[in-house]
Amino acid sequence: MKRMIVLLLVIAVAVPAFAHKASDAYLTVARDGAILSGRWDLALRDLDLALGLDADGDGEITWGEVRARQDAIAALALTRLAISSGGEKCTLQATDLTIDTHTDGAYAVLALAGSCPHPGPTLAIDYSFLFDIDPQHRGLLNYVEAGESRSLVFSAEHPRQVAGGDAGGPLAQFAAYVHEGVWHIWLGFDHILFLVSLLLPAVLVRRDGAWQAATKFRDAFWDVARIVTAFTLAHSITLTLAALSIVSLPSRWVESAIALSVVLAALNNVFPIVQRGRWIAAFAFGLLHGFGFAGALADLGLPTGSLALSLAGFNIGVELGQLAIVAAFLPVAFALRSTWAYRRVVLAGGSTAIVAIAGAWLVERAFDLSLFAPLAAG
Amino acid sequence: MTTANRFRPLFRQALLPLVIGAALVAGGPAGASSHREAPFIATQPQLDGTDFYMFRSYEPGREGYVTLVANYLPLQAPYGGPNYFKLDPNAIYEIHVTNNGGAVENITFQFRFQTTLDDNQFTVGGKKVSIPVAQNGSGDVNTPNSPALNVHEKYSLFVYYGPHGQAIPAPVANVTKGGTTFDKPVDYIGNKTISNYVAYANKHIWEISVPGCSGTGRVFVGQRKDPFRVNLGETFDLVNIKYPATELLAGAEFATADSLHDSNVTALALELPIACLTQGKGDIIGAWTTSSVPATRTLTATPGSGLDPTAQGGNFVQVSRLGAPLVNEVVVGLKDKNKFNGSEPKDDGQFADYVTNPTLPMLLEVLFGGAGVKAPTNFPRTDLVAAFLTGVPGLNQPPNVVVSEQLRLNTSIPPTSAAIQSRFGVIGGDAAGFPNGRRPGDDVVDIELRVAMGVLCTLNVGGCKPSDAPAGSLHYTDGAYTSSYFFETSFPYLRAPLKGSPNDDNAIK
Amino acid sequence: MSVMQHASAWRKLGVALAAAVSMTGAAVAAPYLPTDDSVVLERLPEKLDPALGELKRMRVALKADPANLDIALIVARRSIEAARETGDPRFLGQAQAALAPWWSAADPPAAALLLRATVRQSQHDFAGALADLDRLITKRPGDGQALLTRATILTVQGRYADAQRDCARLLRLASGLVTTACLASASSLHGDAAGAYRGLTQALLRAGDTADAREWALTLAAEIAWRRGDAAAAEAHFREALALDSRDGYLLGAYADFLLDRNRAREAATLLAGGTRNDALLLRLALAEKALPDRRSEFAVHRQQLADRFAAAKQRGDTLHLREEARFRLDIEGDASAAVALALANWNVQREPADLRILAAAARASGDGEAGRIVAAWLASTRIEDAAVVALAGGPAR
Repeated sequence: MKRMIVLLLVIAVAVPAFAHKASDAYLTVARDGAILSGRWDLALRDLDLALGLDADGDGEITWGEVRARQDAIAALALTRLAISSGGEKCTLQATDLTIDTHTDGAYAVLALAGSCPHPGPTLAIDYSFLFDIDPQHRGLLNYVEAGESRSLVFSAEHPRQVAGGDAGGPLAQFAAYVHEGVWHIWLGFDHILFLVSLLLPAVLVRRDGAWQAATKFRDAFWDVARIVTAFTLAHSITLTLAALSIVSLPSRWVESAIALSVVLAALNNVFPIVQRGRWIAAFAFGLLHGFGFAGALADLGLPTGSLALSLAGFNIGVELGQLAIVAAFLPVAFALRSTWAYRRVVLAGGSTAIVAIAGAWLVERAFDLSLFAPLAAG
Repeated sequence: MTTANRFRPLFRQALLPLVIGAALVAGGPAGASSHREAPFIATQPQLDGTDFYMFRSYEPGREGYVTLVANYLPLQAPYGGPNYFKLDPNAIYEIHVTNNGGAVENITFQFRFQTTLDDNQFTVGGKKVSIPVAQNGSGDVNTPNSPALNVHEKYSLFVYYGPHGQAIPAPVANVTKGGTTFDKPVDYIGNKTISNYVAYANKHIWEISVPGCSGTGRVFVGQRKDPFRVNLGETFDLVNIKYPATELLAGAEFATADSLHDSNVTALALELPIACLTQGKGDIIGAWTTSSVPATRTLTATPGSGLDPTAQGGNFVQVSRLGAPLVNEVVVGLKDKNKFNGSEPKDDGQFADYVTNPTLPMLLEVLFGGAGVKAPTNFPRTDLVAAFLTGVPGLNQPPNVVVSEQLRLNTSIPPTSAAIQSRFGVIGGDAAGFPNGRRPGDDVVDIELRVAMGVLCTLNVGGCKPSDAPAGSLHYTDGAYTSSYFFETSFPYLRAPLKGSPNDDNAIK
Repeated sequence: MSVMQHASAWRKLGVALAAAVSMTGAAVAAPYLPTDDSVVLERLPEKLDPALGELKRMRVALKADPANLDIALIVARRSIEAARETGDPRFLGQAQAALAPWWSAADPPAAALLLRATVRQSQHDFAGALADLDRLITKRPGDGQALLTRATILTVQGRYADAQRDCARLLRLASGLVTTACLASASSLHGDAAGAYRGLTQALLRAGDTADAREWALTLAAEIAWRRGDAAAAEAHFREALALDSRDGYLLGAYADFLLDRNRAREAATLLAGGTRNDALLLRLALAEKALPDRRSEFAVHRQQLADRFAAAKQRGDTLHLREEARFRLDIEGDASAAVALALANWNVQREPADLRILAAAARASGDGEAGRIVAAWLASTRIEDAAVVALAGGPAR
């Protein structure tokens, strides 16, 4: 019993008066796939500064006064927090309001719940609570995923952080980015059409002003290999440079140039100018396409902790995606190379169609219009 | 799509790190910085008395008069637009005079200012817009109360006899213009606005008739070039002042530039018949200047579009007091601009009993002790007491003097004409100069440096001996030279201000 | 269920709870729903000080018109004063917010520039503060507050000659006490502690300064006397300063250090009994309790609190209390190598005697050669007179 009393005394002594400290808020975000949950502790003093909670002006904030402003608190908080993943904004709601005590006083605790429509490996979080009223405020984030937590700090100078992408160990993270890379090349119609435009004539040879079927598979194979390798090398280089912010180009210019590259590649099939040197074109334009991939990667967000791994994963994913397309295309094309349909419909007709589509993209992107919204590739 | 996660109860998952997190973040940095911080010191330049002069007029033909000049609002950079420098309309600025050796004022002259805004407006884009500058551009400003000005400053002058709070101030009449208000010339905005500032300003020298006084006097209030010449920056610069005394360099007195060479000040100048001030009670008069404001000044939260963002009320509290120059630095800390200091000369007796604790000697010893400069060691510094608190016996100490800090003038000593004045005043052999009153041309910094370092002891004045001041006879100088050359030879003696525009080659160096 | 029957379970729970509570120093970290609308959750600062209520109203007025310079200046200035009086750093953030329209401007109005410099220096952005003050003083050479603030920063940085230059320029712009204290602050650390002390004490005999200025000067006099080894005089000055303001954080900390130096830990603990809100004071309290055998449990609690606070500051990215953390690591945790690293980092920012002292102490304890060399070089070049530092550095500078 004595021990109990001593214990209680220790506890009694242990509870101190509130400390003075600069303004902090404590945010916990837990992620499970597409589901988000968490809590956000906001100091009543800070909320009073932002909204005015002391309704009767007596210098004390009561639970009744907090409850009366519940909606305003939630509304203010949610306009100051934006979470997105995979390039799309996640929804977020405040589901509950309770109170907790930290060392510098009482805090309102908002329970948060939300979901991400297109979950990517990372979460990008934009935090702007209170910076306009107290530029020295900090948001202290505890990010939880797969049983691991890590801490990030938001400040007026750093209102954006990327969390996650490194949960579940390096292998899982690598795999996540490989997946993203594959996904992005399959979704990237402009990249695919560029590649396809260059590959279509691979199973043919140009002799005497006309297309003829290539005799050996090996020649076609090596032609394809050269083109794909050149393309891969080129876009890997620029993807890395852009992802690490060593080089950056305005995205509108890049996207327009990519569209132009598709036009030119397809046009080259209709009016063949470059034949054996298509791999040079693949390399040259591949540099541009790399910048395009970097834009997509930026939307996903690279985790600062394991940048190289994620970048490599994404790159490899793009290659794998490409190879899958090539592997699907080459045997079929080789088999059909002698047919009239291949030369006329697929090569000439297809290339013409590609020119038209890419031309429309070019106009859209260069002049910021929207002609073919559903066909515009990201 | 992402890493495969087994489902986990999120709340528990979140709570544990939160507990740890809460422990980790159980209090951040608190308190302001741990290093020493400078306190906020009160500064109210409009009420800041900077210099006070009192001397028998040395303008030819005016030997029967005493001139008193009180300067306020220091360090006015010439280009101070758009409000330039106006005196506080809620304050009273006073010059107090004693003529019976006492410490309570016998005569006081009180200035009160008023600014009116014509609010001339231009029509801009079909709307009337208030002009944000003082002049409305309609013409040259060359007469008092000029129609070319948007803003007019005027003042009234009162006199009362006896202690403040007891006598009722009576207005002084404006003999030149009639009535009892006086116009103050606008500050020297520039020569586009005012083509001939000297002539313009001189039209604001008003002849006055003081109730209780026979004869007339003159008054002028307006912007002047700051007459105080001092080397503020380098004076105590450890690195740069190599020659604090002429013994170290013959030309030390001219060695450096006047730090105030590009500043203006606002002068309140009065010239009065001697008899008006002495009232037949003796030859020695004492004087000082004060400014006072109403006791409660609150700054309103939402200043309107008028000129005064404050709301004032209550009794007046003295916030500035100045008699002899640099007294604060040499004798006692009386110069203070905040509401705690409303001390009056009648309370100065306390200082005679204290060790007088001048800053200047300490400064010089701290800085040049290595060169053999030592502050005088006679405590109390009766020599300084003599100079500043009672007047020097045989010179300007009145009979039955009450110890109090005032500038004291012996009106029986004739004025010295400008050409032959000594800038060292009494210690230079010119009995009409400081500390017997003070003329603009007296180099009070050099004088006081020497007095602070004990020159009076070397002359066996004030109860100390030469041995008390081992370094007392050195010819200290701050290097900024001043003399009567820099001033006019007629009322108000202080030179016209530096123009605000164009402001190249502004200063007489 | 009686306590006795489940003693072991209760004990385990109790120990765990105590551990948790001791660790967190907070109430249980689970949010709760208050039972009643009238439960008071938070007492705002204006409850204790009505002037802060007025400040709050002015802030509201400013929110309606953020570009109004007059109101912004009042709010900023009063917020800084509130931060100093209460020791609550939130007010500094509010001061910065009031100056937001001018915070990034290259050439804001003079008064805004001064307050911006003041906020920056309290955040240890000395370079930024000095840049602002240089610009301001060039524009307004007669601005006494700017000169005093700049002189103070320069003294904190150990640039004594430059500081004295600024102090001297206060001659006609501030009272004699302020000028003398400004000069003494620098010259006492630059070879003339005796003269500085003499001048300062004489200036203190005068009347006619604000309580703020007087307290500042008295604290300085106490520190100079203490450094010179004159404990009786130091004590007298400290007490007089406390009589003027018993809540000033800097003064309380300095006096507590003095008492700790004199082995008067119990008095120090009593002095700081109410001061645990302020980290720097909590440190001194913990140091006092360490020396008192009957305060074991309080010491343990405060020690943990300090550890938590420094960790939280690190998480937040604040480096304002490196000096205190260095002392904590050295004198409480006994980790000399961590202490010397912190003391060196602190020394890069500020160079007051207290910073020199912790550097010397950490250098001595850790045997760090570089730190020791820095201390010796500083002692030699500034001829600083500080008995404690000299002793730590192993005798007078050669």
